Amino acid sequence: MKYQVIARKFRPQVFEDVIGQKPIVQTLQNAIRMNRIGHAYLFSGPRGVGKTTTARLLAKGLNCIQGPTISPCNQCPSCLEIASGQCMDVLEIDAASNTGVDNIRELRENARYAPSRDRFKIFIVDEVHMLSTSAFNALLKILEEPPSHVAFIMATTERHKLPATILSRCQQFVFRSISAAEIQAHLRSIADREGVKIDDRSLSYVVRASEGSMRDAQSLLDQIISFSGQEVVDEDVRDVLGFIPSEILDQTVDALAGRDSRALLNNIGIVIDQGLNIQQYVREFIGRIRDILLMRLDLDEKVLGSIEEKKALKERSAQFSEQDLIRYFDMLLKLESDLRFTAQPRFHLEVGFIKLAKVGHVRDIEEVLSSMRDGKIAVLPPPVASVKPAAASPKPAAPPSFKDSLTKRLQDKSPTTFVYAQKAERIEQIGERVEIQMPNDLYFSALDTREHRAALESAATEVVGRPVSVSLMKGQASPPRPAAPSAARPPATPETNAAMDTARQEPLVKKFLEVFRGDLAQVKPVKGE
Amino acid sequence: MGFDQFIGNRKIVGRIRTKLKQERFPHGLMFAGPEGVGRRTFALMVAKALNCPLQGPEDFCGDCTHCRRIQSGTHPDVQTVTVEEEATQIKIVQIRQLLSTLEMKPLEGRNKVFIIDPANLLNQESSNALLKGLEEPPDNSFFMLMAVNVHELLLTIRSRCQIYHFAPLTLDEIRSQGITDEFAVRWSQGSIGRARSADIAAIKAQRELVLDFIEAAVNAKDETLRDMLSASADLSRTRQDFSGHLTMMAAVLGDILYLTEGTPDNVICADIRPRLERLASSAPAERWVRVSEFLRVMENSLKGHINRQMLTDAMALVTAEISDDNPVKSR
Repeated sequence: MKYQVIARKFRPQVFEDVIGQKPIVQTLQNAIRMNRIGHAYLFSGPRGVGKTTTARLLAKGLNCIQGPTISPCNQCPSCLEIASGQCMDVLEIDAASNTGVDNIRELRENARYAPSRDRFKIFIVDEVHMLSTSAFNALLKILEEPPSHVAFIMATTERHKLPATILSRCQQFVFRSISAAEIQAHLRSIADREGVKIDDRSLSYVVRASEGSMRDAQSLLDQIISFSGQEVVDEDVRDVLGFIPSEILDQTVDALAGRDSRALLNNIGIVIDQGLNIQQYVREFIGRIRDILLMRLDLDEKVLGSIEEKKALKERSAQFSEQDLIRYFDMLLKLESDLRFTAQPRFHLEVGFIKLAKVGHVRDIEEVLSSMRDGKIAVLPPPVASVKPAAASPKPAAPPSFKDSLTKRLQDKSPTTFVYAQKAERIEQIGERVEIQMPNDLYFSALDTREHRAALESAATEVVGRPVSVSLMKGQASPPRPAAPSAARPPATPETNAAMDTARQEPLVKKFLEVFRGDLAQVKPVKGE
Repeated sequence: MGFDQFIGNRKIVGRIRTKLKQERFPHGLMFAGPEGVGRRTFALMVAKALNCPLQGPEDFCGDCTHCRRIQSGTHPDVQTVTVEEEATQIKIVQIRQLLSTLEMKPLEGRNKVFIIDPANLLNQESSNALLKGLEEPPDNSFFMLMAVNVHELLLTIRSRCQIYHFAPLTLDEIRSQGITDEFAVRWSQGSIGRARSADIAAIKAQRELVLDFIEAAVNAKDETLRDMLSASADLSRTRQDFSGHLTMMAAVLGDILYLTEGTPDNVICADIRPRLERLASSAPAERWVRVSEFLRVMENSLKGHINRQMLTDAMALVTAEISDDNPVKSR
């Protein structure tokens, strides 16, 4: 089979064909034109944006029989051999499989000899980030002052893995992701040259899925062409890319709007039965929520889609408040990243969706206030049991106590220790010591292990900001503690009590308490009155 | 024999066959999807089609010397690279060895096929070593990478492959394979491998262990809590069993949530539904969601080095908080 995938078949053979890297190409061309050719180049950037391609073009430009030239002829033996990877004087080295210092010694040895036919001896070192430390160091001297007939071109996706000593010896070029418009235009020209009919909308799906990498885009286009042949229809593209049918997304949105966890579960079932990918489903659902949020914010122009689609989105957006959408968005993003690394994606997706359905609707504060202004009494729906009943939210105004900040820290560091620490009766910092008092023997002994102590100590140290020791205590032996620190409000006196009563009678305050189910904590005299 | 024998995922089969027929076969393919849905079987089928002299490249016969040797893993042109014994990853030497044969012409067949399985066990060095070969192999060389989770692979590897996501089989497809036990069908979650290899008695015993644990935790009082914590030691004895227990726990908790949310048809352990219903009614769904979320924490923690019993103890406490009248909760 002589078939080559599009990404290889259409690899640019002249500088002008390199897409989306204009500044780099121009700089290199100028260097050639003005005969100011560096001896070491480093190309870095994300996958599939043209690093290796540009490296080969540069090699051709330098070694072409008519060169050094900015437009290699692609006909002379040098150009042809470079294209096929057989050139004696242009060595393309795979640094990821030849990582050792011996490989570099060999290279150094090789570099001492003059080129056999061409002008320069060029080493293209691809995936250079994988060289071992000693290999990098072995490269330093020759990279700094190579013989005049030698040029190095290094390429990598992970520049941060290169030692600074290597970086400082190279001219660095950072390749950027290719813009959607550039990819789309290029795919269009490939489709034309391949004689494939495909509409702009279908191409835009491919572009979106490629995330700025030309090779990804080309390889998707390839899959689509071999699936549909010379005539590509929209449906095929969605199918090949594994897109979720729009109806399923709509149904999911509606189910969420109705807080119907049953319908949400059924939708997951449909996605799985149709052989669609769960992660793709969540990603696209996030996209849909984003669109609805944008609609809700009246940023219609930021949403892609036809007029009818936008209208449907707009209607759906009326079912949600801004706060709801932002909250869903956050929760879904977390869910999406959780799903990447679990062995039980379906289970966790279902749990996540149920949780979405159970979080209480947040009403827009503007809405509530405006309905209050209109004289209508807005009453909140009964609060839905919070998903985390144990973590009773502290009074919003109170600064986090030491216990809170410590347990918060533990939650991230050691979830199991966190479970126990929540049970502590008292966590206090006393000088260089943190006292943790557990309610009974059971919890005390459960927490009294090396692992838990280590977790507690390191968390406490981080919270306090200097090394502290942790001492665990058990039982309720400690004397009753003085008034809790949160009781910092002034002692109730007849005056303050009277003020509280007056305040409670105030109509606006009354309504406020009613709507937000709050309570009066304190009344302060206004200064100057 | 032939592609018609393959169960499920007809779309993917169709697409690959079209590619074979049109001789537009890409040099880098990735088959992603859960274990036991036939990715390996299918990769071998493709390798046969690429080499079968009788019915290739569109199909394969399964009987010729090429097909038979590919099946038994002795064909010189079809190499499977996998984790060596007593290793946990695919090492760079294995990839170097592969690359050293890459430039050779096929010895007996028409095409060389390299199957890397599982590709997510390529380590940092071996993945990178594969990049250049995977991008531009010589004619007549093809790579097929097997992966459960594509996110575990380098972006640079993914970008060089055409990726196909295999879906779990439908319950009917599983039933059509002669799996009669209804629990086995549901437990398989669309993995024919899981349905076939399942030792139902052992799995039910494991389920018993997990259910006992959850029930004990839900009904725990202060004085019995200590017993329960020591019972959790049973769950966490060996690392290997432990991940199985977590899978089972997910299944049971999932079932409970199906019952609380009113989609009982989804229940996997339909044979013990009354028992599950008792659990489901013992607490509101939000509490069960919380327990389920902790399962994710456990799964995550397990990737590091963590004391397993510590995890189950914590799980027990989280579960014990589930019912309102529980004394533990009131603290």
